[in-house]
Amino acid sequence: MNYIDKQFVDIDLILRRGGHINRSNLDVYDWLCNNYDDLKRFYANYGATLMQHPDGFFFLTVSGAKLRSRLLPKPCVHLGVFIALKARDPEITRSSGWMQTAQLLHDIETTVSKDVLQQTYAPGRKENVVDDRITQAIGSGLKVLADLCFIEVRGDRFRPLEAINRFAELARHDNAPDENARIKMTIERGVVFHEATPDEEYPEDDNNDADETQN
Amino acid sequence: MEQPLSFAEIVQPILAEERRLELLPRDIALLATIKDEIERSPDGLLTIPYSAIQGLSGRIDLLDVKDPQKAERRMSESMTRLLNAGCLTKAEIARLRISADAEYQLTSLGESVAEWHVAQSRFSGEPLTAIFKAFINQLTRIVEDAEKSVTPDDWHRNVIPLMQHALRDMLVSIHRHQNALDRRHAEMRAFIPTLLTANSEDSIGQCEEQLAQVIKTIEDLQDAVLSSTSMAFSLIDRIADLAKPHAPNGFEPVYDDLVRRLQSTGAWITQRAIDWMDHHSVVHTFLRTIIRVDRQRRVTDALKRSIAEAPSWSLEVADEPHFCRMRDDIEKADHSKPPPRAAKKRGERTFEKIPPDAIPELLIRYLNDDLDKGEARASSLFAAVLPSMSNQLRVAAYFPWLIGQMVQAGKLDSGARDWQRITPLIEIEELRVTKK
Repeated sequence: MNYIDKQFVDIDLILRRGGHINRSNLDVYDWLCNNYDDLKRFYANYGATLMQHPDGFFFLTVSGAKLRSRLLPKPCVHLGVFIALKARDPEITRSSGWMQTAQLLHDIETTVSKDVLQQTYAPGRKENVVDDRITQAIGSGLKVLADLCFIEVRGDRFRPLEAINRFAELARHDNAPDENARIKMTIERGVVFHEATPDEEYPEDDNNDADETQN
Repeated sequence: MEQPLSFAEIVQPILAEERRLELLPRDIALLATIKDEIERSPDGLLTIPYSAIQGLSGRIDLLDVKDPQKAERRMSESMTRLLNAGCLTKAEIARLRISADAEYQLTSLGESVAEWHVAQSRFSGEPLTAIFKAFINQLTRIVEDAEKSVTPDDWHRNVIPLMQHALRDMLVSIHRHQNALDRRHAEMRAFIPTLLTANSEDSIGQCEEQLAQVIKTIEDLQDAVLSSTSMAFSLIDRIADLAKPHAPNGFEPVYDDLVRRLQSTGAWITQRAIDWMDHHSVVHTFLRTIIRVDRQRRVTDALKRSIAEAPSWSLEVADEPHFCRMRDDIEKADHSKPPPRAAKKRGERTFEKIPPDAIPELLIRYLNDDLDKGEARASSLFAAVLPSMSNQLRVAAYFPWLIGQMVQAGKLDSGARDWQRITPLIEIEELRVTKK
């Protein structure tokens, strides 16, 4: 493995920032496949594990203290689950896998109950600003998902990449994984079972939406 | 040889006779079925009776029923429009009174309209490579003719018209193919989700068959782009090389048009190939990763349930901060601080001695002295202190203050208010106080 290859730099930046290497990014995906074992050892020195998901994409799970990590905020997780569901709708093949952002907003507002939307995207907000806050939170959520290579955004449309299937982890266990499955998901898939309380506070600033944890 | 018509000769009769070609989809459908009926006739007749047209109209109604009560009216309106447009004409010589006995025949316009629309709506199945093969054959023959042409006249007679003809033929075929291909792709995009939604083994099998057809189309498109267009370009260039020594008039525009059309066709084919490949890839991935894996749709159903409530889990992702980017363009020329100045030693400090203002004290003293004598006047007080003042104009600054002091110290004499000149420049209103 050559550490001065351009592909190494691209892969390293994506992985350290919590991103995913999908097949759609063919150049770096191919490079990673060819150097998987070396990279796995490389990141092990940082206390992190380079994982390949059964769906093919790569990502990093952090267990040591040398790399920082964060938890995805509740709106991002809900949005990710919703997009993972839409990605399983056969209608998506009609548009070659692309979805309109406006259509997503419409679908999410018509599919999910107002209470859940408010609780997830605009907790503790006054009634008159809830709708705006939900739209804003979905917009920010899409940006975070795009930054982490869960989706690819082009203008006013986007398409889910393979990594979106990380949001279907619990659904694979019918939303009720047993203890062994939970441990396995925590170690291998980076799932954190985070029992949020109803009055949990979220940061005002969108840039600080993510809960940061220092390992 | 027939003289070409002038512009006015072409336009005027059409406008004067108010010629128009207004046809509705139903009219075209009727026209096409009339043509088909005439062609199928075993007697080889060129006409069709009104009753047969009624039968055809009734069959169209079965497919496009809007109001069954107005079938006769719809048909008569269609017939009127077709007759007015010159697509259909009455076949009898003597006028017949009973319309049901009338016979109709297609005009050449009617035949062409019907033929064109039928051809447009039918996917010929003729692959793009076949169209290009025919085009390349034509070009090869033109190259042979061009090699034999030694004078500009030969070029005008044997080459240029053939090039125009070949171009027109190719464009018509390509245009038909483009429309058909786009329509077919749209149909397939709409059809595949219905198959995938059905989720039965049969529907998945059908879907895979559709994908196999897509692969054939993609191969056809790629072959057309990679081999056929490059072959066509090389032949066209060969013709252009042969034309150079003769420089026939009118060759350049035809050549440019041919190249331009071929380039745009190539670009269109490339774009369509990408679209078909994208679609194929998405459907194939969908089949492989979702339909085949989650046959019972358990994961999909679980996802549906999970979006109905706020998530109670999250994903942990690495979050190393971004590298600082050292931008040269915002670097300022000089950021260095000036060197610190040495602290001055206490002994080296210089002081300027400012004498205290003695005038107010003098004024108070003179005021008290004068009051002890019985009275005090502002003019006399200022007159006494003027020699001690560095700037006599400061009288104006002291006067309001002195008024307050005099009023407090003595009793005001309101009668003495005459103006007194105390310096050549300053004149003040007199103020006199007496001892209280």
